[in-house]
Amino acid sequence: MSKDNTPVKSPKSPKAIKTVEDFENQDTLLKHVDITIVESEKRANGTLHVRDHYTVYLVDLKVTDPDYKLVQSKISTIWRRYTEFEQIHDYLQVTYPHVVIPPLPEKRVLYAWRKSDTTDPEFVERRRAGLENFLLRVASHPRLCFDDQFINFLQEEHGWRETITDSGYLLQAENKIKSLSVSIRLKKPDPEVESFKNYGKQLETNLGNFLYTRSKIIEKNYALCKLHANYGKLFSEWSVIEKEMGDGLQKAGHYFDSIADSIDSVAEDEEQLADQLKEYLFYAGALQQLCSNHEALQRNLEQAQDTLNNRLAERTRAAAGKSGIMSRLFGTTDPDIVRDQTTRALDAKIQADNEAIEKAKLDLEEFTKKVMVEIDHFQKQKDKDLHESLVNFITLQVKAAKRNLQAWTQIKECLQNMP
Amino acid sequence: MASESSSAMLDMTDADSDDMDMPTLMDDQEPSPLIMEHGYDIAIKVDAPIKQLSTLETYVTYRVRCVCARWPTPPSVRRRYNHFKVLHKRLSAAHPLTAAPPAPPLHSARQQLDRYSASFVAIRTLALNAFLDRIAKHPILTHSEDFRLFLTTPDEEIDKVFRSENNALNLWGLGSALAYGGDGRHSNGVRVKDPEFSSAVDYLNALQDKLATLCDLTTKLYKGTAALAAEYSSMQRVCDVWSTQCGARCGGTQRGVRGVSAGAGAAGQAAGGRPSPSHRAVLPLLAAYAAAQADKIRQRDRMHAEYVSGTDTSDDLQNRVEEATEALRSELWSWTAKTHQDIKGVLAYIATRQVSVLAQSLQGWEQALRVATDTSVHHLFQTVSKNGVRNLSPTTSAAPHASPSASPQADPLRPDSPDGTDT
Repeated sequence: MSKDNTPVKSPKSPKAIKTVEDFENQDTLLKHVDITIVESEKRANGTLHVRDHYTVYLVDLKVTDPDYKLVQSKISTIWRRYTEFEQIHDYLQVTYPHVVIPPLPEKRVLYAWRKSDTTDPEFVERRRAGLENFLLRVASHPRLCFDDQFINFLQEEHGWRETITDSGYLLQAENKIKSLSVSIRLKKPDPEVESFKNYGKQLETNLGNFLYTRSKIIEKNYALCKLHANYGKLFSEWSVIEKEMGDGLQKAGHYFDSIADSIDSVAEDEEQLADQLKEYLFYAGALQQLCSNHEALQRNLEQAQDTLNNRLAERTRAAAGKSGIMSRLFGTTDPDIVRDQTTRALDAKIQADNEAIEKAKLDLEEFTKKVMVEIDHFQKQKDKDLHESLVNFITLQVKAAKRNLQAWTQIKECLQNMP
Repeated sequence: MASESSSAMLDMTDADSDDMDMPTLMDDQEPSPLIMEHGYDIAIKVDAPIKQLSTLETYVTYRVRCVCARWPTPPSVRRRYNHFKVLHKRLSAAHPLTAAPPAPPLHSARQQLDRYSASFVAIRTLALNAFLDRIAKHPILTHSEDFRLFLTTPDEEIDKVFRSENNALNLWGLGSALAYGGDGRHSNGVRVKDPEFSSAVDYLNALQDKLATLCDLTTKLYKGTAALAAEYSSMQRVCDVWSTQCGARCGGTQRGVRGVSAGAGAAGQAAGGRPSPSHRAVLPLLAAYAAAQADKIRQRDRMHAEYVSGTDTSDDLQNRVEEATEALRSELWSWTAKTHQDIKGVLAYIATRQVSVLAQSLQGWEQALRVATDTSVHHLFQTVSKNGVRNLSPTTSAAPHASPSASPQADPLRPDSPDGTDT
């Protein structure tokens, strides 16, 4: 990005966000550009091995706002593959610990009810939609959308990989993982954050259970509807050998076939809805991640306080001249000067500790503030989206039931009208 | 009735059958009245199987009811499977030229282990009913003396009248074949194929095939529907758990989940009903009947062949060929019509059941949609409860004009009260 095109940051600094309303009224990238993933393409690494095949997605960026200067060009298209999306996602996760990072679509099919793999065209299409959704979610998130790396991701074909690796997010990530791997036992966990964490867990299990039973249902339903094709075949074959009944049987056979055919589109639509629910399954994971980040900060604060307390105790002992094992064994032996020196040294350390605590506290407060707004926003958006998905799910069921009912009513009529 | 030995009512609701759940077939105290169909002077019903435990053996008897204009009938008699078998044998022996409706098959080796299972007995009951019905509607067999004896002999004497000649040949159904004596020999000479009957044989064979497939598919359809019902109810459970865990800020989600729960519940209930296994009783019987007709045609062809080949040119043989031809001609026509009626009956039942299942689940999902999208339900409920409270409290009960308009609006769609999570 050239220097003269310095990003025109939104007038409000992110710290000014206090409420969800502010949060939602923020300027976002999506207000200035259109992002779509237009198509996907299979590519090979030169070798013929199956594992070296991969799919790339064409990210298309159009600037709709003529005055907008943040991006390099008005129109750009760029090929990206899934692993690159994973990189930007990881980068965002590390760089913005206080944000519920929009999740990527599933890497492998979860809750699959029929065989499919990552090269399946249907799967590629669903992933394309999922990746596009990811980009839109990031671009409409006020805290994420103006990230330099993200904008580069959308526009810079070459060199992007180097800059993002240079940004050192991997190192940070490693540190994070180390700190997280210690099981965190907090003395005073924030009840609100705790409840969010539990909520995330619950949401994850509930969505998981729901998706699981849904996959079972569609599996059974699919088999059942496909069974109608056998009826269709039977009836049309039967109609050949019958004289009076032939007509009715044949017509009924057609309706049977229509039932068997209609399930395909239903299954496809339902799969899309399942993808929407899966997004929230992963969102629930992101929410828990956020809570863990909060816990890590809290942990820092508590550690700092612990050190301070230890120091204070040490100081009182020193002030009483009872530092060291010798003093405890033989009574006060330190001369006053020594005592003075130790206490002074400790005082300085205590001062530093206090500062550390202050810093940790500030960090935590800042973080909590941000997180609360973030979670508020997330809850709102989640509630709306989930409601919509579930309503769509029900609508789909209504439609499918209606269609099947119609077909069967016709079949009944055909059969009854046979002479 | 028939309670000389200790009897135990078969518990038809006991559903641990090998493949499908059966509807209840209880010996209802008020049996449905028998109504003669148009054009027939007889009506027959087989139902209410009872497991009889005597000192020597255990067996199942079936209640046979009959009304008939031709002879007086007792209100009901009890017969066991062997009696039906003997009836079939006697009918085929007495009427060599017509194919008697085949009796329902013996249990298979697998069913032998579980002969008294509810599902097996239920299917056999329906099959025996179809068997007798077919005899009753047959223009010749219905006037048979054996048939009358079967229907009217009191329970105590039936064993004397309907003694099964228990030799191995009869058991294997060879008795009827032997009745024809020499006809059983295969003639190596001329083969005769009457175009009229050969097309009929083709049709009968094809029909057997179709009936078997139809029976198969329908069993699969019912099984699949039942499996789907089980999945729907597990989805309902999942959604119920979810909806109770929905937090304060998830009103929309909760509504959606509740909707799905309601819909899945209704769909599960709709699909979970137990269908009558009539197809499994009637369709194999019809297929066997078709096979029996095809056999008769082959017999006639053999006789004809013998006649044409000239080994036996007596008038007697010619007469017999003529007789058989005539009998088949008249038989096939009415047989096909009746069989079509029976098939239509089975198909109509299947279609009616599917329509009712789908209509119910559609209704359930539509209601689910209302539950999921209706935002006013909560507010509605709140006003109602407020009014309810006001009506209950003694201070405001003096103002009767205030509330009656709002109170009857308690939503019938939502029996579960919203626990205020939306507020």
